[in-house]
Amino acid sequence: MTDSPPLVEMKNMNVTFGGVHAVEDVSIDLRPGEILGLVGGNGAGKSTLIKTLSGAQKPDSGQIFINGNPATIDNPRDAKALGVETIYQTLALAENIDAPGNMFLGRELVTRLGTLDDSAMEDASRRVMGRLNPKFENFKTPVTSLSGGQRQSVAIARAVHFNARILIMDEPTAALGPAETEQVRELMRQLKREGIGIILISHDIHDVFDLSDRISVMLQGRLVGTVNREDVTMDEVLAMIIVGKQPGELTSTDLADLHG
Amino acid sequence: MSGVADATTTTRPSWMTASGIRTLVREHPMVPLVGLLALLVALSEVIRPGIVSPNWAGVLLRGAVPLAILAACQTITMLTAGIDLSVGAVASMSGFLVATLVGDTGLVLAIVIALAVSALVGLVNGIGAGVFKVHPLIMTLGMSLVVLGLANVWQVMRVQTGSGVPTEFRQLGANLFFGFIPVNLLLFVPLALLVIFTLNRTGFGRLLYAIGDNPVASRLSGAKSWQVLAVLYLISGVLAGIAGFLFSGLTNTASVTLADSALLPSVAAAVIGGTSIFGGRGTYSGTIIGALILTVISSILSSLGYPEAVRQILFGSMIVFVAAAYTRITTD
Repeated sequence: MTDSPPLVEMKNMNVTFGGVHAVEDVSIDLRPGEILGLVGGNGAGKSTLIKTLSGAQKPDSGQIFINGNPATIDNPRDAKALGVETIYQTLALAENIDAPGNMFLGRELVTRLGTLDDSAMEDASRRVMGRLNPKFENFKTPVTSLSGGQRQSVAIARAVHFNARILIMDEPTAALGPAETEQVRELMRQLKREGIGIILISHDIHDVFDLSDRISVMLQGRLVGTVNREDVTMDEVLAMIIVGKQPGELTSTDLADLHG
Repeated sequence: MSGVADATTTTRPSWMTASGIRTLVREHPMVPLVGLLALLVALSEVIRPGIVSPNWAGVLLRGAVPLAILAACQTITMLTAGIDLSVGAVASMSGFLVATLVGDTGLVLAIVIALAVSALVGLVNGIGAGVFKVHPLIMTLGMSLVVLGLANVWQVMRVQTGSGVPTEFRQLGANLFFGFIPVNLLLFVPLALLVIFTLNRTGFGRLLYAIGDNPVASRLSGAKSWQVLAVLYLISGVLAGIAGFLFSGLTNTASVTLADSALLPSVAAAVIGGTSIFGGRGTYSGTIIGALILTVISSILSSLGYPEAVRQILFGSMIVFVAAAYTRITTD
């Protein structure tokens, strides 16, 4: 791609829990404006790997570079300071508070008197949302009454407003219907156009295949490989996920096994 | 009245249907609360015709004010899914401290000492709940015993003559302007406005709702919940200390168990006022109406000659019933 340093470079990451090697010598990188799909079965280690980037898990060893600079990420606050934001599966929204309130949770805008500046927060929310999801209009209702896609929008708008350059999205469409899934996909394409790098963790191979530029596959804590989406078929990615073989190493027997 | 029979056959107004009531309670919780209060006042008049008068109202209001302050402690802590069971002990201790110190130190210093001790107890509660993650129920219950014990030790050390309650407290807690406006409103109105303002208009207030609503979300959004809880319980302690001044003034008594009997009603007032014990939902204005409702019920019971035990049974049952009802109404 370009010569600019990758947004994120994780080198030789290792995480062990007792005797279990949850992540073993894994290296991945993410470039600006890129969606990197991170796939693998349950227990493959993808969530653990990504937690070392979001500050929720300390690695035993390994190095993380953000924009080419070595970074120390000990907690979620460090990650945020480096522009790394995580959109959690459960979305982490306060149900009885409205969208602007959630966007500014813990970082409220205040007037000169120190009181909450609701109109400034609403304006800022409208500006960000106007870019991401122009159809969003529910700025005054508690988020509990919003649809799954709208809630996803609120969570993402919060990250974007606070200058996230790197978004980690963990199963962003798992709980959504088809129309809402499309809404979130459009949102991700928009983020990509703005030069934000996204690491997409998903079980849904279709999601990953439609959205990702590159796909990293993990199996039993190790990285099977990283491939360009354009160079592979969905079957080849499935083979990487299930039997851990690179596209080149696949035999017709392997493929036959895949399809039962 | 034939209208009653008609109501079932014709289309009912929306507020008479189950879902209409639900929406009403959820979106305008003050309407049914004020309605219930009005109903109880009317009931008082029916039971004892002529009893409702400016003086009657003033006396009830005067009694409701210290309760409403203690209920503020419950409201703000319940918003974070906590509770403060130490308020009874703290209020008693605070009133008792002033009564025993005032002769030696003068009123101002006695008040400062009592509030400082109240704040310290609150801070310990907050650190226990926020830093050491002791459930607030256990933390504050434990602290209430500690406070009671320390107050008893203090009681043994000081030989007390007379009630010791300063005249200023008696005037503030018990007097009525023109025979019907409680003097304690001078203290309560600014205090209540401050609580309401803090909850609605400050970042701190917003965080209280957020922590009770979704503690994980508040943590991930970078809020330091232990700091919020430490300050919150400290405020709760100070409020309880202030309520103690009014209790001792109202009753002209200083005793280490004076306000204990107000603990359960303070929880009841918050719950009846629509504050969810699960956190994230509630208003102080609702709690104030809750405190008034309980005070009117107490007055009805005593005018009917029922003993204290009946009041306790009724209040206890109301907490359970109302908490269950709100849960049904506000969750679908």
